[in-house]
Amino acid sequence: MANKIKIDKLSLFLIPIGIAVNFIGGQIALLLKLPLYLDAIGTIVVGALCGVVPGIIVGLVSNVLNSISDPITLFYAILNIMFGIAAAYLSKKGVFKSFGKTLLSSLLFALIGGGLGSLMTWVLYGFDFGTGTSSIFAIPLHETLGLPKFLSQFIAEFGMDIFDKVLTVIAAFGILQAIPTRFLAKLPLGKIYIKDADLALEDED
Amino acid sequence: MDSEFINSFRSYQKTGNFWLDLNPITKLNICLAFAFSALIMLDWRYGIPLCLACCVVALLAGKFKVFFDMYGKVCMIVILFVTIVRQIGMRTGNVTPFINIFGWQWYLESFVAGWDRITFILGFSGSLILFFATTPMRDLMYSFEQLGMSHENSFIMLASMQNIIDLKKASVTILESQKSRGIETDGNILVRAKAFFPTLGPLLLGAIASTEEKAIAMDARAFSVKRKHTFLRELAPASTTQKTLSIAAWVFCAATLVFRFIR
Repeated sequence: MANKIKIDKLSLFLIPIGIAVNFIGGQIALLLKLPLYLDAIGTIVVGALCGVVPGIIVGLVSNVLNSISDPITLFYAILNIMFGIAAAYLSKKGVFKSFGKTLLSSLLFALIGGGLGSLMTWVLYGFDFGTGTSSIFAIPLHETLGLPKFLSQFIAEFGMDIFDKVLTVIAAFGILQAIPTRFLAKLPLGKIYIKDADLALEDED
Repeated sequence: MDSEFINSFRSYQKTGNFWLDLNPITKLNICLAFAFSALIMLDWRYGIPLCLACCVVALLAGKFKVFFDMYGKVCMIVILFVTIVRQIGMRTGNVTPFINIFGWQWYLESFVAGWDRITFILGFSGSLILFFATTPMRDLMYSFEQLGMSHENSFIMLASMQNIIDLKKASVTILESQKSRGIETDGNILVRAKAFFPTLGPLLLGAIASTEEKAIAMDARAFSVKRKHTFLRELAPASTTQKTLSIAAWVFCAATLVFRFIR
């Protein structure tokens, strides 16, 4: 990974923080009894601040470490990797600078998590419902409304993911706004988040 | 006692247990080959013996408690969900009644199909959990470094694991502090969701702020030096027998693929 593609030192030290935050987000959600994953905040923050490669590494390693206790999560690593890539792309486009655009970006993340996630579940569980919380909603949709199984799984996962990703991007937005300018200036994509007033001050100096 | 401790680092690290003393790469090869064979076979008659074999190896390695703490949870969730889901999903067509539980008719075909899927997931999970339960991450990273992986990658893995432990402790402290300040952590889902941000914010910003100091501290300890690194703990390299075991495991995995196609 890091020996082939050069990653600057500060990004390298931010990667383990991002991975840990992915875990802790889920942990706090559990402590607060929230029926959400909140396990992509670290990937999105690191992807937005450090670029595609660190974002991918955070996503991949988070799932590898998660697979220690639940190996099936290894198959879902592709979702977290795509969150990292999407975060870096959206960050370069300046999406995370505006609260409205950040909220809208949750749709894309939910589409990856819910859409691609339901497809993964569909294949992994032999074209049937999975074992996640979403199945609790998917089965009644199939049973009572008579919707096809895949559509029920998709609606349930996307519906759950949209709430999850709204909270995730709000948290990521708050963090990106709160990071000191001095620190942002040293990160590959950090300059995007330096406020114009701070840049003007820098120019005056 | 001090000299005994010091001398323990002069030779290769050994525990006296065959499975634990295998080189981590050999162990990884064996476990991955068996995990993939479960995916290939997709049959309860192969999956159940594989799951039992994982339990036996964990028992012989003296790590059954660690192994079963994780594996037991996965087993419970997968068995419960997949069995129920299959009974709901496969009720029509050419199906044979199996048992009746309080008026709920179960069918044989959906039960067998469910168990094929359950053992596929549990066989795969069991092999990997066995590997992680019996292999310390630092040993795995050491072995990868011996194969030429960058020490920066090792740092990412090991620092992540340490950060998870540290931040987990800090998150509980922050949550308790925020509670004592009056932030509501009980109530409806929106109230609880609102409490998420004051907990995560200080945690993450504190961690980010410490990154710069960590970078300086690591550089002061020659983290970026481009030369061969030394290690306090050394593991025995994989012997010819161990290499043969790895190859045999992958040959077995390939054989299951051939068997599946022939069948």
